Amino acid sequence: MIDTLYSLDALGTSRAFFFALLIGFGFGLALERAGFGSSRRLAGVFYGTDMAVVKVMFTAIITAMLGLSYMVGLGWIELNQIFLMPSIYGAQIVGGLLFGVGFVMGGWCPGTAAVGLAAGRIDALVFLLGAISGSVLFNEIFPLIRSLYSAGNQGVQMAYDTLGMSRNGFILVFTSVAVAAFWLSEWVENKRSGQGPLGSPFLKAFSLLLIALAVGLFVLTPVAITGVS
Amino acid sequence: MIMRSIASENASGPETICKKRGLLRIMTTKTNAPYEEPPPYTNPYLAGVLLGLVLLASFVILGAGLGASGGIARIGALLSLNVSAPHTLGSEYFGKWGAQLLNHYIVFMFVGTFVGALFSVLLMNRWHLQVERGAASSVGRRLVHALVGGLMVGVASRLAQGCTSGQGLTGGALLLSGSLVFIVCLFISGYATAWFFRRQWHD
Repeated sequence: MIDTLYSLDALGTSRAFFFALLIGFGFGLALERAGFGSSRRLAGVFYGTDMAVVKVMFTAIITAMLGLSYMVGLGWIELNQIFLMPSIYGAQIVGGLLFGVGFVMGGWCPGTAAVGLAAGRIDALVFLLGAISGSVLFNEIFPLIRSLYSAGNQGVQMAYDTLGMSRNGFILVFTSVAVAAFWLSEWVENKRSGQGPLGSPFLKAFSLLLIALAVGLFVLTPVAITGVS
Repeated sequence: MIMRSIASENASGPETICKKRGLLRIMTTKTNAPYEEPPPYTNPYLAGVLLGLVLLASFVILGAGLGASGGIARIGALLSLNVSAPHTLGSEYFGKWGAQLLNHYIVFMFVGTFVGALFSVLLMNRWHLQVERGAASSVGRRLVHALVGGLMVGVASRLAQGCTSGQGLTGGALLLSGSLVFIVCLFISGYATAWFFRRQWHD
């Protein structure tokens, strides 16, 4: 069994700071390799010109989800050793709606703006200055929006519990949605550029691999894991 | 290296054009500049797998996922502290963070993100000092959009307790209900308002 630094209550130690620096390095590297140092490429997702945001983000989510689920299934780690954020529906709905407008307007989000700054984008620097100001503004207006900040707080809510599904069942559905989103993204891009047939050999094989890995969880853990034990 | 050799399925067209252009340039100007054209981006699915493995490493080692807006907010709190320490420490939101604002793993992660990105930028020769925008758009319009967009994202990230990294990637991979709701809302409002901000990308 792996002990995470969070489960050891050691996130405030210099050891955690070092690993955070290292993991951040990998994070920035992966984002740059994906081409997220370009605001034009990021904004492209909202205009159907470049769907890389959907492809990269959804692939990353599915990869980490499947990897973690296999590790839980093998008994290497438990979900409650990871910090799970509470579901605060009011704050997350309003926050998400506002974030979407800021994202499409600014062409960046916080992590990618750091990458854009590293790639020499002046618009990324200006966006970051805006985001810093926004954080300060939030602190100043906090007394006014205090009730919204905790509106609809339901504590930690797993999506499969909310929907009354088994964890493995939800993972299979979610993985299928991701694969469908990849094909839809390719279709949108092809329609825009008027390019060739849909579905590269890579995408076909990749789609099969993801679905197979999601189905494999039923073999590894036939007894459904529900909730946070 | 493997990542580089497997080019994006969409890049095969533009890639050949780049090669031709490169060849043409070498033939006409007789100056061999093999590194002038930055190589194409990694296949987005493979870049996504790499990003997912970094996220998984964060879960396993730290026991917490990736985050970016937290680091930005702590820089904001530090600036606020330097303007007025009693006001900041006495405020309801920033006050809870205390005076040692940079002494937090999320700040180190943010610094790491910048350094990792810079490493990749230098390696792939993609540094380009510019205000990224459509050719027909003014610099002023693009920068005002970036500033106001950033302001909204700054407020929204604090309200939702995370951004596309902390709520989107991390909460999504953990299958947390509220995080998935956040992602859906983000794309709904993004697509609903994209039309109003389209001109900054017009060529």
